[in-house]
Amino acid sequence: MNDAQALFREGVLALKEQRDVARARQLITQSLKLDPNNEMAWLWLSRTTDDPARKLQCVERALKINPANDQALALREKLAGGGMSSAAAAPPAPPKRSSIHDRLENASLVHHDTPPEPPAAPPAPAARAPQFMQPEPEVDAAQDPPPEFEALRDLVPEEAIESTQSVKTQNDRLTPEEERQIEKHLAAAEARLAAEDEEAAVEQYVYALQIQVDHPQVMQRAVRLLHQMKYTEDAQELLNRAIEAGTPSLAIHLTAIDVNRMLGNYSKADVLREKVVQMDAIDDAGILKIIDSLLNDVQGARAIELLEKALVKRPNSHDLLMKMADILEDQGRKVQAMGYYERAARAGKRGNRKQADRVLQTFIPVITDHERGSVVLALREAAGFTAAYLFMAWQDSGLNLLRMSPGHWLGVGLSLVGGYCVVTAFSSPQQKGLAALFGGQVPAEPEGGKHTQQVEVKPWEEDIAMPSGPLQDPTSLPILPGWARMIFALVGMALLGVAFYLVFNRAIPLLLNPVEPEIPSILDFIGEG
Amino acid sequence: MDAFGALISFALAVLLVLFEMSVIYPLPLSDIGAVRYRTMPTMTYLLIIVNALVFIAWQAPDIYGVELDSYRDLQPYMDKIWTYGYRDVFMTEGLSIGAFTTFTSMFMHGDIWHLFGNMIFLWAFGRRLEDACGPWRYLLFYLTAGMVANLGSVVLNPVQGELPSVGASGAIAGVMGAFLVLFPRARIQCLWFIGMILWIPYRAITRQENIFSRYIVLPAGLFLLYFAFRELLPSLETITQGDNVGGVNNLAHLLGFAAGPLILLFVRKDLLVRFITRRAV
Repeated sequence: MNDAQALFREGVLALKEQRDVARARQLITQSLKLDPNNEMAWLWLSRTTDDPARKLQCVERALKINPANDQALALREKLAGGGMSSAAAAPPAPPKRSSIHDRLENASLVHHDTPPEPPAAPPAPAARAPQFMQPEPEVDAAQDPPPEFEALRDLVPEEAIESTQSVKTQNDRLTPEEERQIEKHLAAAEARLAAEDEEAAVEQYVYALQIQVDHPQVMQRAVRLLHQMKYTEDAQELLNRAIEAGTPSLAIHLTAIDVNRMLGNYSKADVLREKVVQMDAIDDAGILKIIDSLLNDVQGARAIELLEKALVKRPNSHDLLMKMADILEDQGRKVQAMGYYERAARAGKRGNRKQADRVLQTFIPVITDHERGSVVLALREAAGFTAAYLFMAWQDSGLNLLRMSPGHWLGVGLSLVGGYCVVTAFSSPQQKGLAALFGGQVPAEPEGGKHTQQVEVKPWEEDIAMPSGPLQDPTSLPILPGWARMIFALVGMALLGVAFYLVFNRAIPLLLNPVEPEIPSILDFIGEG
Repeated sequence: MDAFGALISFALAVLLVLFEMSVIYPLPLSDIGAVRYRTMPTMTYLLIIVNALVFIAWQAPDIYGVELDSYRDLQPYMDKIWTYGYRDVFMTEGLSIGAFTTFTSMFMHGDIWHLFGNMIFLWAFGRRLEDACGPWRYLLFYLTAGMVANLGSVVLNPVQGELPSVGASGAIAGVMGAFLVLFPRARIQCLWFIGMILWIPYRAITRQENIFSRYIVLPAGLFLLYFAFRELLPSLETITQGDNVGGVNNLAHLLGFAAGPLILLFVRKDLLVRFITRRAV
């Protein structure tokens, strides 16, 4: 049994057994706030007043819910024929309505299978006061209940009391009847709006939301209307009810975030943000919008937290990775930023990958001037040439290292010098002393400058790829002038050429005049390397 | 058989060979993870193209372009292998083109599947290495590793003047050894049919999305050390008995692989500094 039915039963008992009319009226009124479609409650409420007009009003409400209710029909007939002329002649009092907030209260997270039918036509606007502001009906009946109502208690079937079911969300399929009901409420709301009766329109929206708590069309119109009417808190409540019911609607969540922020309920908005960024329905653009709103509120740390949560579900989202990297870089956390830029570059498609690459260019590892000017490092590269030439000479000398001729060794030595010249020309033109000797000058800083910060990390770890790029960082070391580099290059290549001739001094004549080896039959086996 | 039929047959054969190559042992396809090539691997492309052209334009007509009435029709193919393949007698006795065969042999292959397998490995490991070295240093390292493989495989082989050795596998093994030195924690995407089946329960337990993925990702260190281990025993057999097991020069593979640390002479300066100082950014 739900709260509405319990209140209703208590109210009936208060009236019948305790004769406490005031308490009965209070309980039944509360019951009707939770469930305004309980026709029996309306009839019992009529017993708590001795005002014929109000009695008739309650009966009319019951009949609106169930036009075939015999008890209600009989009571209306009796009220109409028993000295109700003055009441009938007078303009009907406006139907009892609670405020919009009360309507929202009524929009409990349960609904009945037969929500109230919308009125066929909107009443004239002039006949209505701002109903949501009207006080609760004052029922001043302190009299015994009429005997004709005694039987009504038994007319409330247990099935009806237990007929509620869990509220539906967009996750649930609506029955055709429910869809029809929602359409009716929407149409009624439109009619009310056309009659400039916004409060009544809201009421219809609330009825519709009792059927499906997060119906997108209804929710959108209701929230918009409530906001226009300056009842943003009521809109917030509608949204929160839908969220509490487990709506999967992203739009409702996003709207709820905005409304909560608007009302200064920042903690609630933040909880919603955290939920939203982990939803399947949201796309990257939506998450970024949320993150941007946090950044606008100077909540960078929270933005990072939410991005981390979002990235758990979307580890390869280029845009989220880029945003994370940007935020981290803005906070001066360059190592972490580089990791995210790397991930973004890997995750991005061909087009937007360049974006991360461009940013990474500013993270190009900077070799220090000490390393730029290092002669040892230059010789290290020259040694690569020497190693290659040594193996050439070794083979040319009949595969015997000890039989290498002075020419071979000379060739190997020249390869070191030639290699050094080539390396100096191309990859180490800033060796200390050398550049100054040839009149070199400090190169201008590249456009845009470069990051020079050095941070200790494990550079060869899987998660941080080995950065690469040209050596364009600011330097105070002079660089060899172009003409000198050209000379080094030409001399180096010439020396390497001579060295090549020397280390292959046996093979080159063979290349020009090969000696036919003895070739076995095809039937012999061929080894593959 | 018309051209279309031949093409279909070739495609089917490629699939069959891929299956054969990857059914027992993992076949590396690419490195993944933190891999991004900021430079186009032009030299890797070029090496693949040159190897393919040498075979297709120069060797293949002698194998696939003749009516095979008898094995003797393959003699021209045999002549090229025995003239430009790598044999110790060419250096010791000054035959053929002498020590230049160290280069010619590196670009020759026994058949199209030999070429195919080698190029897959070059593709899988070469690109990242070229990115770390730049194309010319990478080429110099590739040739040096190939020379080490050739030279060592005849110097350590007690039997002289035996079969010629052809193929890029020594140089490519050097690329793999260098990859191990520089990127031991990289991850290699492999095609491995047995592994695929073995991985299914693991993927199911760890609730991975694609349980039946045909790819297996292995740590580079594990894959490459296993590669070296597989080459070790046959290489020892060659060193002790002077025989190439099954016609495959495992010793050249192993020695090429052992030339990997030479990469430290060829890798770019800024990256070497980072490697030594463990500094980044």
